[in-house]
Amino acid sequence: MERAKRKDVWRTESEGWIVRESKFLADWTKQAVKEAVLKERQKTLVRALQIRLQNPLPRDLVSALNSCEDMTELDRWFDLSQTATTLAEFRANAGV
Amino acid sequence: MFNFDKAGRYLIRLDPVGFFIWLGAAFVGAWQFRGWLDTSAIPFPGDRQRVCDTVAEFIHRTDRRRRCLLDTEVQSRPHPDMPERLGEYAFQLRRERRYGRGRHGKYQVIGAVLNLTGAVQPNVLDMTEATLNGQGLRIGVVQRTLREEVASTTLQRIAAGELARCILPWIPLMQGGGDPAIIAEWRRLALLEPKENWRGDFGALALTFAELAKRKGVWQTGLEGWNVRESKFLADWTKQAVKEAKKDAVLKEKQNALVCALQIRLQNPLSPDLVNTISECNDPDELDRWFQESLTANTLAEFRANAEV
Repeated sequence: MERAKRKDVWRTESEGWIVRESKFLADWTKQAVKEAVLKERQKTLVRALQIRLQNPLPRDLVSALNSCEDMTELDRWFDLSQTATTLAEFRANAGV
Repeated sequence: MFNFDKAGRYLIRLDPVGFFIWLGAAFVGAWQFRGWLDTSAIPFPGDRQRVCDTVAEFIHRTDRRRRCLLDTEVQSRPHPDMPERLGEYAFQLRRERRYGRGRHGKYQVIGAVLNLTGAVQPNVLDMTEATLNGQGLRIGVVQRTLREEVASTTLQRIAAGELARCILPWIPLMQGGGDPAIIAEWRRLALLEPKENWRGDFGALALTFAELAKRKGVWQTGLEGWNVRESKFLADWTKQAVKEAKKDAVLKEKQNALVCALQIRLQNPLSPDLVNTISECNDPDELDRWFQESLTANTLAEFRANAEV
């Protein structure tokens, strides 16, 4: 408890400690986050198709979905995955 | 969040002996580096992100009973209270850490500061009082100010093997550190480094510090094609930063996918309370479960009942 109190005092006293950020590293992170979001979007689409239309999915389709790096296209495919009633219909409409 | 100090601390830890020779060759001649002190349990001053991970332990080369700690702090901008701060650190370290049998040995603690930018700062805190026989506290801090260092001389010393190559990333912060000829020589020397990940680190850190010195453009040109992907510094840092940023981004992605699925399949627009509940859910597993329910439910009421939302 005493230690925790002391920490707070020191924290208060150190206000104004100068912290500067690197844009170079911020850009680097931005890129990495973008890649993470892309992976999540691909994963969500695969999951939606598996649950709604067919499980397992054909390998070529999974491979095509996971190699698509166009976020807008993935969004369009996701919308189609929600309205299609068969996998064939999805593939025809999505062109994949 | 990232700060330049963190890059500096990483660089100090990369090749400690190389760094300390640059800081004070005579000191390294007298004292042998033993390792970094784990200071995680010591309540140091600083904000939440403050990490005091550059406290080095040394043992005297001729009198093995003597040990000292050298606490090196990195400042992206000079802070006027640095002697006071380092004094606080020194006393804290001396009180909290002991060495030897029974942990009775008290360390000699020295503070050092590296000014990445700005001018040389007062590095002595003298509170002695003449009328009291000169008693009182006096704290002197070892100081290195990068803008007072000369890039060409430093490169010559590295080329001669007098200094280690781990000093290279500091070059952009030094006098003449934006000169294309200096950058070309930097590149030649850095390419002599056999460890691929160190070469990557040198490039990534030099670019980081070049940005701080407002010399980013010329260094980017000079290091064009440099493989920074091999940098362990970037990999470690990215991993940590991405872990934090990714958590938020992926959460948002899951929330958006769920809202879209519900809107397309079940009801559009959704009721504001449901949208709020989804956007306030910070549990990725729960969002995954709700997403699954959204794909199998035939009505919004069925979804809400199954998801319990």
